[in-house]
Amino acid sequence: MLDAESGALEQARSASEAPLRLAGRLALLLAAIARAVADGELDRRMLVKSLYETGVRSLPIVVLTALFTGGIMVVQAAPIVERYGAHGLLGWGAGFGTLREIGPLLTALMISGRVGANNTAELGTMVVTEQLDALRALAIDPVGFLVAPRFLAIVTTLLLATLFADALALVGAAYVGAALLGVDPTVFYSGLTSGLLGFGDVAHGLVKSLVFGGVIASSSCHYGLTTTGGAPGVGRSVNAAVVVSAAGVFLCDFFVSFLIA
Amino acid sequence: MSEAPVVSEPRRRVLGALGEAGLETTRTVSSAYGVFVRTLYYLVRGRHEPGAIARQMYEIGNRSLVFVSLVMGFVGVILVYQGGIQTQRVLPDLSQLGATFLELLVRDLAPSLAALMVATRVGAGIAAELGSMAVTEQLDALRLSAADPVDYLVKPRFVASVVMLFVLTIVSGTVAYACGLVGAQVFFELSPRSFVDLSLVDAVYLGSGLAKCLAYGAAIPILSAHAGLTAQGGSNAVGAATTRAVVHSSLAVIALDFAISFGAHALFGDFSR
Amino acid sequence: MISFREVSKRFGSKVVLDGVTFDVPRGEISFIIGASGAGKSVLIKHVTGFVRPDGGEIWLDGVEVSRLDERALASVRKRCALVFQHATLFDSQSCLENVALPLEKHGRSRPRGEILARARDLLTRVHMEAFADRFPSELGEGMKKRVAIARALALEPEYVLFDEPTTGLDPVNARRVDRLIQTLSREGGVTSLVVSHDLTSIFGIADRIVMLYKGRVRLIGSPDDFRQSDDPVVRQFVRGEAEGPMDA
Repeated sequence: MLDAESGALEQARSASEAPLRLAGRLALLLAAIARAVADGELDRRMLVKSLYETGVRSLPIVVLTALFTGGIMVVQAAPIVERYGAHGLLGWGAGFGTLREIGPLLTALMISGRVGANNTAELGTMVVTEQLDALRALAIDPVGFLVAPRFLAIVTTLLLATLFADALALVGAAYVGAALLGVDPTVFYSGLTSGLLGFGDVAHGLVKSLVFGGVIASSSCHYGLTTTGGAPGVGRSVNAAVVVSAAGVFLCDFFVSFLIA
Repeated sequence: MSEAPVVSEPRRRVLGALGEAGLETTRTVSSAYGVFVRTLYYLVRGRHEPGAIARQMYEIGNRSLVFVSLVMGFVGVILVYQGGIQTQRVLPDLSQLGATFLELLVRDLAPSLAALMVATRVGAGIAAELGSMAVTEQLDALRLSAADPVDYLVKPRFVASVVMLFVLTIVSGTVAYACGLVGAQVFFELSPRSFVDLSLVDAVYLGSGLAKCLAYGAAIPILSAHAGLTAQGGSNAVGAATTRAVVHSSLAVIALDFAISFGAHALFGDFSR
Repeated sequence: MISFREVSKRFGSKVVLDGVTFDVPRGEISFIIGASGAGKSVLIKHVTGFVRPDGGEIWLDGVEVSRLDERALASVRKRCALVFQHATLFDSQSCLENVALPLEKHGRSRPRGEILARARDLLTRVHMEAFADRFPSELGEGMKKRVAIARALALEPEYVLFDEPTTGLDPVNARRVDRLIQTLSREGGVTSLVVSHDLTSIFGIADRIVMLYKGRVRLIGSPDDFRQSDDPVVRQFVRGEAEGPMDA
């Protein structure tokens, strides 16, 4: 009886320790990246290469997600707007949801999948095939050469992608609004800019995407760098990275929403 | 390690990337559709194995319940908060907040967000498992013993996923609602009595939400299993398969969300009350 | 000179090295031999800090390396290169870029043209200049090995560690690698420490052989010493016999 109880208690304690330990490790990784950048060890050519690759890789996905998001927002806002006969407010209804929440959130989730997972797989493969050790054997610091450029590329890409996705979603929403509810795009547009939505709402979303970028990038790099066990090990790392990124994004969404009220 | 030269292409232009994405989507959809059809076939004609299905249901449920519920709890609070703030800018009171929140939850947010989380947690897991088996030639061994991997491996996960997604949606939706209730009380001093209001939820919305659960529950395991089954290559293979699974499943959820929402509105579209 | 003093290492309950002591004289080609899993690769990885010993010391030209941190190890690694068993070239870069990378990162901003020219020279030394713009995935094992050696030589190290350089290569490529190692020693004065169980290599180019058995040094000597040894364990290995006192 006592054994079972203490067993469960042990489990509960280690389960609650695990996220703390993970947070600690991610913080250490961030510190290592910051130090490498401060020491001027950030490899500029790798940064440009990473920016290009993550940008190109995410473009199709961001476009698709943004267009669908716009459509979904309108369809969901439609009955509410119709209920109050406030067609002029459709722009507002779709707008605030997109800018403050859905835009940053869905873009982050999709980029976590497309870019974050890819990054983990690449880093993991390099670890497993000893390429990372090969760098160290050449007295090249892997953090400055490999990790920091990828980290910064992911954060930057997410920020730019969120901006782009917000704009595209609203464009998509305008057209779906016209198709579905007969709301003229100009009415939609004036609903957006009517003064109910401000730059504050855009900024709210952008601050979030910056934080999301940090979460996704650090989770992705951490699990890539700590991969063990060959090809299946790489798969496990990707799995873990994607799950932790998603959980972290929602967690930060929660906290940031209130912190920058 | 083959000696045959392979031309690598380190750079692609932006338009090329978009075009290629289009082609890849078509190829993936048609190939995954094949897996879907075979799964349905084996549902009727395949091995009867309630044990495997139960095991998969336990796997999926066990791994995702806490995760999805936790996330949905956060989402519930955030949405009530954001929604309340915005509504206060245009309307005099928040009397409709609870009702609208429940309406959105049932129609869209509970099934879709739960599905996105499941696509991440479970989809990645399925792809990693099947991908590892593909890369270590266990799938070939299966085929050599005249067993179809789709029957043995995909079908139980398919059934489990459809069932569990309903369960997860309902449970996590309830958690989201409860947290939203608490949030409304804390931020806007809305009493539970004014918040709890089922008047805006009707059969169409319920049906729309359930249809989404079904569609997502089918799409996620099929696309993830497909990604795992088609894993090939070296150390990168399983990681690449897992990436594909998460991306394809998430995209499918978003696309189906739009399609079903749009379809429901177009077919049953009269919202005037 | 590289010196090992009472180096011991265990992984879990398995004792891999149990008090290994010997010196590697400058300018010579020394081979470490022994059964698979006898700890040979683990031993040489101590020299540049990829493995830390549980006990004992490792000295490289008067510097004790086992307690140095990553940053301090950088200067050790520039003087003592390591060629991994599986070539480990960077997949995303061409052969030329692979060899050029250490030159760039430690080049004190020399112009790119000069760096690429020097990289091409290095590739020519290993007879791989024709493949400069190819990618590692397009090459066979032996070719990748040679490019890896070129890359390791980029910083003009005084010492080079080779981890099973000819394992998995066909006989022709294996002899090419042997010849490279020999040229390095004769023309460049490089001190080489080679882990191997390729008998042709061992008796072809070794100046000195160290045999490890059960985590300790069994015999040190010249190839002739090994050929003429009465020790049954040494004889079994040197003759490549399945039967004998060596454990399975």
